[in-house]
Amino acid sequence: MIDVKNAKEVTIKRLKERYFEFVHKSGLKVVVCPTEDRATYYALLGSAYGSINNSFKSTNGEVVTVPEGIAHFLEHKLFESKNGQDVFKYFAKNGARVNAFTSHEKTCYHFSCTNNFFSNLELLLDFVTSPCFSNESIEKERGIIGQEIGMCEDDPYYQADCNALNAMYGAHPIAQSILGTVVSISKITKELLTNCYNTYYVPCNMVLVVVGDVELADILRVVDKFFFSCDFAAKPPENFIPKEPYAVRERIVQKDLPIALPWVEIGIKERAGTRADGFLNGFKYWMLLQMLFGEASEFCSDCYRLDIIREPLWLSSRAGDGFCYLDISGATPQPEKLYQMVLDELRKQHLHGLNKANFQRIKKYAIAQYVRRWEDTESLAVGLFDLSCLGLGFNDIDELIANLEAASLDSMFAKTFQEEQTVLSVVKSSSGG
Amino acid sequence: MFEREELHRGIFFSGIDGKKFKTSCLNINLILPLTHQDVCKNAMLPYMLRRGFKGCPNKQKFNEMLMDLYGADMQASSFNFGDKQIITVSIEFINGEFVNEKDMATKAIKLLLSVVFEPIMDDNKLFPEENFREHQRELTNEILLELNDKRSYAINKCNELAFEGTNCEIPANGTVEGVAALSRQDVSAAYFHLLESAQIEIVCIGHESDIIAAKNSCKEAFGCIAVAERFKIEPQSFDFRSRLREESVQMDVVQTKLVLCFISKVPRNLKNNVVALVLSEIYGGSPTSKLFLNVREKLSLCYYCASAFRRGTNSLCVDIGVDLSNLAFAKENIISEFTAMQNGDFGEEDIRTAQRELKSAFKSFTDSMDDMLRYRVVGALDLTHASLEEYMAIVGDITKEDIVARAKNFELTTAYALKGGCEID
Repeated sequence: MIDVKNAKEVTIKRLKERYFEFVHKSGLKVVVCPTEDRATYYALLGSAYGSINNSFKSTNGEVVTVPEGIAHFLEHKLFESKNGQDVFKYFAKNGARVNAFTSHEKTCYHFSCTNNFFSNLELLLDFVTSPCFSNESIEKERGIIGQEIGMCEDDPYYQADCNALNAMYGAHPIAQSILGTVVSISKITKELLTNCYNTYYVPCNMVLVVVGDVELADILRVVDKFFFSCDFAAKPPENFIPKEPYAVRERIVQKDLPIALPWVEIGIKERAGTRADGFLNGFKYWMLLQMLFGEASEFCSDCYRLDIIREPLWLSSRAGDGFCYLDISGATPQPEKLYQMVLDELRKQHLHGLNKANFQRIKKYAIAQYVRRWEDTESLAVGLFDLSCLGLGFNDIDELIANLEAASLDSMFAKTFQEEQTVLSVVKSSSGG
Repeated sequence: MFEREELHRGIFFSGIDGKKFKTSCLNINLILPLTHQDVCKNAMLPYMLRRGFKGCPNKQKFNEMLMDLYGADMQASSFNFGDKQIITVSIEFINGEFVNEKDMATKAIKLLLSVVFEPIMDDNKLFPEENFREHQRELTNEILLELNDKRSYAINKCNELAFEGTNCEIPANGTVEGVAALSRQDVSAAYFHLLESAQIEIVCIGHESDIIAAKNSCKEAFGCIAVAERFKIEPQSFDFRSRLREESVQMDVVQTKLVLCFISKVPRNLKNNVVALVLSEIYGGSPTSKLFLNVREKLSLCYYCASAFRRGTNSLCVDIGVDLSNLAFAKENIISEFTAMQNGDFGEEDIRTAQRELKSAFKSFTDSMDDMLRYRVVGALDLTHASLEEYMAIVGDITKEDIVARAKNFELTTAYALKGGCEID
């Protein structure tokens, strides 16, 4: 019998919401967010295993390096059930939609439904915990993923992003494509998939998140059924991520594609901290980006006036195991000019000190973004997954924003956003446009 | 749920209880016929409006104002639905209780109405030249960027071909040439025409008190443009080409895109729409569909091969990304799977599965502000003001005969291929 008294209740005062965290004896973290007023139930089971985890100590103690794109390939293959059928069918019978995604640092399987929630939850836990690979189905999957790769090769946004990462990082596997390449996936075998699965799909490396009108105790009963006999002694995976030099590899990269207007991604490589620090610092970097280049900045107005940009720039920050970078993206008729303006702005602000005029309003904007996270069930579940992996909670973000002083961003800015750490990745029209 | 009510002639207001959401929104849709002559002028208006208002003519200051309202999200856009063009202006904002701002809703509603009724214009009631030029470039940019996403680009091209000669062929933002030919006088006149002629559908999602405040404010604000006659949405009837037209374009891309358009001439009503949704679900609308299981999983030809029913044009669109060497084989299989649907080659279990999935999807609409807005606006656009319960009841009553009859009424009229890669002999 599971004692729910061991669960930790997290109350978010601002939102008048709460959720529960529980660590199952198998090591699986369970996060349950009861939402009485939603018709939809949503569950996500994920592993802290993504495309960057290509080198690790396998269960037999041997250190192995596996082909690029294998985490994503494994995600596709887990959808095959023991009898060779796609699991989609079983969820569909229950009126549920199931899907999955792989990123640099996680692989998540999720479903949403309005009925038969517990039956669907059992299906989810069953298929993710009972892999079934056949050589024939692996071969078939190569064709499907090959087409996914082909699709992304034509995608200017994906290409600009991959090239920016490649220009920033030399040793770190974040420079590799999440999907891999046609050549790398041709090397994937049943044995390699099994090895990756056994290493990373262990309860202590996984989190289950449930959002819906449910009770924690009922969820734990289902968890117990599937994770009762797990290897409790299983240790968290040991990853080997090569040490990445601070300097970027290349400053300017270009690719030609049949598009009508150049697409640009300006990357800024920063020093990586611990994963939890990286997450919280990522928030501060995002605020700095908004202050410098956001819609309410002078920089943005100047760019519009000079026809350098014609719509707001996309601003984001990413930090994880051994990496931290910021990116500024957008369509522009003058990629080099935009890059030059970004560098000039950084020089100016480093010289005269950070313009903090917008600090308070960007803080308000940040609060709104955090509240909005609760609005969308999937976004909420993914957020809870990320926070749980890092040992953080929703209140940590609220606290961070509430306590943030302009001076702290000022001193962070003084040590970061260095010109030599920037790269320009451009996708231009192959017909010269 | 608040009943849809007519505030003034041709101006309607609907309220949806949004207590479960942490944000609220007010969404104003101005609907006019889609025409070659007016499409670009109207498509410029969202940009002209979104930049500020008389009391705050500086775009940067206006953005600061939105951030001060805890990042209130103001959006303005143009989209089409069959032969109609819709200009939407909306604001979404955090509920004041979460940020200790009691007047949040009042301020946001006022801001949106200022944007709609007090645009930045000079003494001659013209948009300023500088602003006009900036947004002319912005709209051109938007049109050019459509080429970046090859999948949606191919779908749009197929749509243009399928409905050639009718107003449904017109892209939502018009063309680069059409935008270049505009003057600020054209666009300024289009603004007044839009306010005075469009059918207007206003939807508010929020707490009851916010909905009442929004309704009262809208009633007062729109009262100043109350006119005797406005455009009125009428049931559409089209006379489409029935012979197959095929076109292909070569482009330097890795993956070939193929889009097929099936058009139906059956009358458009709620039941026929819902039958088409069930048909599409079984044929290519889900991971258990015929196209997914056979073309993707069994033949391993693609990453995606999917169908979607388009209510605005009563058409079924199928698209696939595939190697050029497999193009003909893929097309053959997509068509033969549709023929199988027309021949009733699917089981009762397929129908039950599709019904369950669709009912679940309708039920979950209530958890998404975007879905609820779309459902309300599309209901107004195709004159099917049905409740979600009615939709679910109709889904439950669909029979195999209904689906087969609907499938038989769809005719393949257009095949468009964006060819890349190398063909292997």
